[in-house]
Amino acid sequence: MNSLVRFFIIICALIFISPVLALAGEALHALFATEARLSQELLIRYAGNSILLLLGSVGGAVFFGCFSAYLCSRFEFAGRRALLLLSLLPLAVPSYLVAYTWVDFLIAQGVHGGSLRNLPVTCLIFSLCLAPYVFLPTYGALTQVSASLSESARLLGKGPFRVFFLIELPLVRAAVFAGSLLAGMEVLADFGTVDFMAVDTWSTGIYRSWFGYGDRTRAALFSLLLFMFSGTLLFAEARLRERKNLAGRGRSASLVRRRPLPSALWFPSFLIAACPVLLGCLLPSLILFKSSFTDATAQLWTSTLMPAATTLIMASSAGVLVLLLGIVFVYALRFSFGRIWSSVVRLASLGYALPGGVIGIGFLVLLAPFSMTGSVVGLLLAYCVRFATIGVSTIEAGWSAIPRAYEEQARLLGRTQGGVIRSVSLPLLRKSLACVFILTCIDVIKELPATMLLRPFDFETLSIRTYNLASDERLAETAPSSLLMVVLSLAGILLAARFGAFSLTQTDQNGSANEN
Amino acid sequence: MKPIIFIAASLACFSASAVAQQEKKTVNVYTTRHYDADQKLAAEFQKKTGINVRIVQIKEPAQLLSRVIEEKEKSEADIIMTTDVGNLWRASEAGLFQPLSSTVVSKGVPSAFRDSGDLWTGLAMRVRLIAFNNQKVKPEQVARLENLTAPEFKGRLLVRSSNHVYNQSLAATLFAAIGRDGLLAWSKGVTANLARKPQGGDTDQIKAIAAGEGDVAIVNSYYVARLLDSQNNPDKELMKNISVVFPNQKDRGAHVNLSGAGITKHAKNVAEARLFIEFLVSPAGQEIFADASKEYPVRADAKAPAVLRQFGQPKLDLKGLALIGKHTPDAVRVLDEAGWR
Repeated sequence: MNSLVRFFIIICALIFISPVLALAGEALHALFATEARLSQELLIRYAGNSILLLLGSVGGAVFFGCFSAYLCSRFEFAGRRALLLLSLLPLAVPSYLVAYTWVDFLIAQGVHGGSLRNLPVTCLIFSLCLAPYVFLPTYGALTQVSASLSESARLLGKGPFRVFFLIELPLVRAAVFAGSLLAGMEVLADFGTVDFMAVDTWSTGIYRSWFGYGDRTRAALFSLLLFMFSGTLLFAEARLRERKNLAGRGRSASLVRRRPLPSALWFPSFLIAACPVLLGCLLPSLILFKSSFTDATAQLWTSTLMPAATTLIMASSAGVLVLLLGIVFVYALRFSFGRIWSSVVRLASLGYALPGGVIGIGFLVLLAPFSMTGSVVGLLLAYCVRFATIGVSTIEAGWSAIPRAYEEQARLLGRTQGGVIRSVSLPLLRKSLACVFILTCIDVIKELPATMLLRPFDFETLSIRTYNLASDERLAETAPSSLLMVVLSLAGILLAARFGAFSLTQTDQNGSANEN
Repeated sequence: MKPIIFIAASLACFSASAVAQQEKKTVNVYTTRHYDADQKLAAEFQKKTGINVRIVQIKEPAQLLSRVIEEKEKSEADIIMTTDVGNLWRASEAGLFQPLSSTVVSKGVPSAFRDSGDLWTGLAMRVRLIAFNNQKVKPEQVARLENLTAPEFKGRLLVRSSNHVYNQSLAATLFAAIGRDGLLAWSKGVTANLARKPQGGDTDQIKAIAAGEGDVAIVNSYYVARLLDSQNNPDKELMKNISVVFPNQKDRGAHVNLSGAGITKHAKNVAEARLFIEFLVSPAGQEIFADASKEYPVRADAKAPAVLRQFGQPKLDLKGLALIGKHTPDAVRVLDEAGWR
């Protein structure tokens, strides 16, 4: 069985890496290209903007994410459990949709477009949308921090804020960094939002080279540079995680007890913590809801049904595939095949780090010889490469929480390796598996560029429909498809939370066990 | 096992429907257009001929061409249909087309709107015109694009980003008409007069005039037509104080751009593809373009969109049309130099 798994992983690794190789081959031509091209000054400006945007957006996401995480893990207050769940919801709304909705709404209220479409507002939008990426790991880590450290610091006379900044924040920095990294990769690879918000970033450079100058080779080169940048960050993060998970040490010791929140602070803190969900999810959804019933015609609604069905089928098929991939990959990590094999598996995470429109070209090159462009199978393959990381990271986290002894004992009692996986590991992992399925579904629902490039005949998804209407400057008519996207994703997130995807309930149990 | 069965079942559904469609006579269209008009055209053609029209739409022309190029002779595309004549030029440069060989097309469509090598034909046109606040600006002040660089318009111009193909093509025709230095001076002048950083789409420029952010904007004809024709009161309100002119009527004519189509080199359904293109340029097809997407028909005997007729028949810059594809990269470079984002 192990050799079968090895074989499978090699095949996958080849498939996963070949779009990048195709891209590299394409980029190589750029060295010999002589036509008109993007000037260096402009490239430097784009890079500078990207970095400012990255810092502003991730900084904002860290602020909102850490604030909510601190509030929910350290204080007891009315609405705490609701806030935990609410903090996840911005995941359901793609940032470009938040931008479309707010800008269109505010301009209709008489605000000048010139004061809306700029770098600070874009940073704000990303901060709101990406805050959950930081909130989730940080909250998880904060609930695991041992009480003894912070209590000692308190006894030595430090106030709660100094304790947080001097003791607790450094302890959970790996978690904060992991969340920031995901948020950052999303910001760097984004084009839809920044294009709409009139902010020129590195992605603008990629697409301007390709679409304006007709220079695909330099577009490939610039994407490869972006890929290397994100890849470096990703590996740095993995190293940081491997070295020592400081926060995880608190398990055996007593956990920090939640103190009641002073009532004067309740309203302002709740308001700050609820900013992402209010501005990044609930209010935009409300605006969409209103306009899909006032502006949209019945015909617009019925023509949204088919794309909705397609979206659901594709999302759930991709969900199952990423799930299966994740199991095989993490199996290889768990029953350590060796360092090289784990590096091979880590490669799978990198698909996330490329702008979808460009990695699409890699897929074209890969799929065309097999007549698989424009096939559902080819598209599903592309989703697997892009989202495999969800399966690997989620299942890895879940599996590492299961003591090895369970599997070893089953093995001693005469089960085969495969039998152990089937009858012991997978049943114990079912929550993680449900999460992988749902999280992948949500990402596929939002996915646009690869779907657009590789889609079969007469095939439309909700995100494509929304994008096409928006790019045809018919924002009001996007309401039904946007709303359906949000509703489907929201349903997914609530389901995932129900399955314990975000370990919110689990830590709650720890907390209450501690209180008893 | 359940998940695998589920995937297999859903794939089977997809492929079954594909097979069912394959048995009928079919034409496969790769298009960058995503207008309701195109759905209507396909449905009408299907009704008339019984030939099934299957569509893949990829918004970005460069990506669509990449797909056809990579698919090589295995490509299912019979027709490539795209907005912007520069893309038709690129497709023919890349050797993606075969001759149309249709007397219906060559008789129906004036030669200015067709490829000289018969590789593609124009289907419909949009004109880039100047919209202005008629309370503050007189039409003669904006009679030429060149006028927009005048100091009187400082802080009053509105235009979208040069990341968008509409402005890239406009710049390419200017590159052909007034040369590199002329274009550089013009785009620097425009950039200096901007009321705000280039942003949004064409409709956003019109909204910005209505909101008083600026007074003069460069926009495409069919957005104006759509707003004028809208059943939606706020949209109509928007156009209350806004008039439009076709620029450069006394010299080279207004900048015009084509949507067009050609039959691919590796088309499997050549006869059906030719029939479809012939339908698109037929009087009935041209009427749908004018009605549903408010584009100007290319046939001389077809009528302009009703709501645009009030502005008269524009003189068009036909010389620039043929050169758009060739000059776009150089023109974009000039726009970069001028700082037009």
